[in-house]
Amino acid sequence: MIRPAYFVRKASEAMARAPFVTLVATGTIFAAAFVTGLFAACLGGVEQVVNRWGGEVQISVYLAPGADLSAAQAAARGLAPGHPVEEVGSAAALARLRASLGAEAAALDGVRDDTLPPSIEVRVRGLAPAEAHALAARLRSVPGATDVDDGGAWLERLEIFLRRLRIGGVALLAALCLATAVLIGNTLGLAIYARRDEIEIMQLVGATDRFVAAPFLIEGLLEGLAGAGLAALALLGVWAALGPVLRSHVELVAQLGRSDVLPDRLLAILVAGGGGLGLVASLFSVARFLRRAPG
Amino acid sequence: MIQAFHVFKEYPGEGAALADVTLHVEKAEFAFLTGPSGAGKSTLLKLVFCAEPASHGQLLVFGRNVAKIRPSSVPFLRRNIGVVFQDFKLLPDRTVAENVAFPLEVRGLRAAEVRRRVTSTLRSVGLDHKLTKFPLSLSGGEQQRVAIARALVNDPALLLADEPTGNLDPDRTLEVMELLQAANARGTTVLVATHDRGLLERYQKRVITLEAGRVVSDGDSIRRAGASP
Repeated sequence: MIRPAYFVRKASEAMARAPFVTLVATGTIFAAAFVTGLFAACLGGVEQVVNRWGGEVQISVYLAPGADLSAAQAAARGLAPGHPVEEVGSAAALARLRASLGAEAAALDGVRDDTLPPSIEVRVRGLAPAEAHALAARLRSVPGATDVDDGGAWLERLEIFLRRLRIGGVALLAALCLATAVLIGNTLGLAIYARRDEIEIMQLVGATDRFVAAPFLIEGLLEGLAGAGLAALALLGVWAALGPVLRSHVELVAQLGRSDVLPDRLLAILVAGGGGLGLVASLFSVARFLRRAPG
Repeated sequence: MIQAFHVFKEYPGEGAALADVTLHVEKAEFAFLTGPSGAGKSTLLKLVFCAEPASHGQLLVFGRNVAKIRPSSVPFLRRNIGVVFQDFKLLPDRTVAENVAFPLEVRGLRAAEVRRRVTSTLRSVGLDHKLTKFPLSLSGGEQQRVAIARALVNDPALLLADEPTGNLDPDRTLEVMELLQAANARGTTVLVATHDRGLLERYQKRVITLEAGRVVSDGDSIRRAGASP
């Protein structure tokens, strides 16, 4: 009957006997997990900022001349509950245009007050670009609406930017994981090679491949968990040190909290991923060694 | 216990290490395997404990044909075989007790049972006072006794010894041979590979002589071995 505690003890003893190898493997996973976590935190933070920033868009519902502004406003309020809705008559629209032209406002002299169409403006806050898009589509049903300008082109650019950022992030994470797995695999491979005499004797006295491999797998798992756990703590430390400074100096990130940048889920995935990476890397290393070993 | 029928072992690019070896070693027998260096003694032992497969022929150990044994079954066969080497094969960074405990841990015995059997076995080889010593702090004879203790701690049915006294002086050689004889007296089959004619002369046991991979004589004493061409 093989007891897990036996293998954990053997793995711990092996790690204590070869502290340099343990340090290198743990350090490699730490570095990879830290860089991965830092990138994920930055990506998450940017997404949060962009979503909040991008959410503050103005959707203009242009109405036909003579349309009932009050009815249109009421309909818009019903379609966009919780968002500020403002009616802009033709004269008010012209006045805004004059104001925006400043010294060139004289160019509008002679233009009639009812030249510009009346409109309903909906200020959208706290919505992702896709949600703002959907709201704009719903606002087309406002009575008298002839056109809806939701800043679609800008929103689309924002969506493309976010999509590329995510794809780049996934590619970078995959490359990091692969590089880390190769590095850890080689480090553990060296550790296994250094203990080839022990493995030979274990096989000589009747150890199965599983028995030989188990301590190495636990070693990889423990080193992965330790490295990634330390990386998670380091990331929290970086946020604790830099978060307040960033929030006080950069208006865009002023509302970001720890849970926006380093949510518990991300930290849990990071630690579990580090453990999994250590386990898989040691599995490949020990399997490769056992295939080559004469047995 | 061991039955070899026309066993061949060939290595690519080299001649046959074993050629048409046929022999039987009975249960509880003590036999020497002798011959000059390169005769195939170690190769035959490796085939018996499944370190290498035979190229041709049938080799039965405990009635199982090891020429056709599945790799996953090899460890379980080895748990019934103790092996002793000329270079001891002890782990220098483990204590004497830890070295001897290996075969028991592999079988998953409880720590208390492992301790009891390790102490008992080391007592039988006269080293129970060296439990916590490291192998390199012991003499060559003591290290070989630790290796024998490791080979015997599981009470194996078969004990293979490859030049077990090759690195030892005459007094230590006698100590080691006494331990092997004691194991044989308890019912363990013992097969000792050696080219030490002094051993063959002192212990009147069955002698199987190999030359260039072939069995050239198989008899009851050194006289038979010495009569070979």
